Amino acid sequence: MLRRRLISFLLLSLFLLFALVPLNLWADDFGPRRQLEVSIDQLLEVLRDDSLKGDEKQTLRHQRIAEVVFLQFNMRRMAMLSLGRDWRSLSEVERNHFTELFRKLLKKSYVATIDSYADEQISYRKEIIKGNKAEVRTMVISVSREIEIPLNYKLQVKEGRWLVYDVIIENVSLVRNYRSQFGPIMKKRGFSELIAQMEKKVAEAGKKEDG
Amino acid sequence: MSRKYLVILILLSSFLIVNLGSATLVCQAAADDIVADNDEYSEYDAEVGGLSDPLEMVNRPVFTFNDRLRLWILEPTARGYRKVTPRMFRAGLLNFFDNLLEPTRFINCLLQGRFNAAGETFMRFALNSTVGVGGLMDPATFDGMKTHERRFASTFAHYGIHSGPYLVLPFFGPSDLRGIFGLVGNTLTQPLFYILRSEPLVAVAVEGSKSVNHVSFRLGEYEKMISGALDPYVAVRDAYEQHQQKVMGEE
Repeated sequence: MLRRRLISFLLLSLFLLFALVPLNLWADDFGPRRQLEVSIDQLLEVLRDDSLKGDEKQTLRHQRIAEVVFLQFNMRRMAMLSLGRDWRSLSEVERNHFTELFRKLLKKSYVATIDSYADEQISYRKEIIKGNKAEVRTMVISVSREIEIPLNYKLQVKEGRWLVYDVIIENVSLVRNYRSQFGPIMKKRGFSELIAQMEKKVAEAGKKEDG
Repeated sequence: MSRKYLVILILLSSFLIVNLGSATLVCQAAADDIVADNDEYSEYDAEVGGLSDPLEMVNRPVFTFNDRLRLWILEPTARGYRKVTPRMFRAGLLNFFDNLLEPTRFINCLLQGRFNAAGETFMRFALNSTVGVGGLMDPATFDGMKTHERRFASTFAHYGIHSGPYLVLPFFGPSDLRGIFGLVGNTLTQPLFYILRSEPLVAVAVEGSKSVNHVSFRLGEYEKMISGALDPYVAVRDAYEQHQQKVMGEE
């Protein structure tokens, strides 16, 4: 009798034990960090590709970086969170248009920033998983420039994949930074003016890159 | 039999406590960074727009001045300087100026009751000033000693003083009211200040070279950050605010 109670107690304890072990011990293979690593390795390959080096290849190189990096991004979600609750009142066509412009803005700034990380090393510091959200913390270590740049990613599961919905460079969240800019424009001028400003910015930045 | 039972019970419960501890630790760490969804947008609600900016009308022109200064003067100068100076020299200068900040950091670690950090800061200063040839080299970091970025503004924040309104200072860039008082404290604990006090022109030249040297390591970064911004003024203000929240809130 005592023996049976002991066994059931043991089983229960074992069950509790496993239930309480932090999730990230199980998630090694398919976890956010692993998925991000694959994407970052591809990015580094592009950055270190000799046939893509030099200022004259910049446009092509940025194109390739964007292809690799944005594959791991949930662009629609980034755009949505950057706009805030006004997103709800947009039509599907408006949402797509906005997302497309947002992607082009990111290409101008984020991709150019990433491009300057060519001869740097990425060290993975921490992976925090909570439910379907996660944060992966990395450090961009530049030996040649004597600096370390903390670069963190926020990810969320979408259809079984961990996709990035925010990037935090040196403590500055990209989504939050855009939200602080979009908010006042939406409030004072409205959506069509916001779109007009984004289109203008994208065109202006494009001109600079060609020249 | 009952003794065996007791031993197993103790072993298991200690196991459970250890695991429970680590599990809650992980959860807490996660809770600090990832706010649970009330709705999808609330993750960014609390943070956006906390810093007041009643002086925007004054700040904007100063921002434009700093922006031009950086893009038209500082960056081209730093670019040229980088071309003609060996990296060793620039890195040495960077270390030298950074080492001079250690006394300020040391005092503020003490003021905030962070005695371990103060000790490490003191050791860094001692090691880098001697073995590191007057701070030109940084053997302390090589030895695994960390920089504790504590200055007066963070001490004020530590004692519950709020940032006050956002201010853009000419030459110095984004700050706030608390930041200005911090700047005064930082300057008064700066060894160079006492050496150059009677030579204001030399002091300005030193500050200028310091900036040029610093920017030579971060060429083009500012321009890239701005290139995707609809409103660069707001983008920089928010970046400053986010950075402050992170740095001031850190334990």
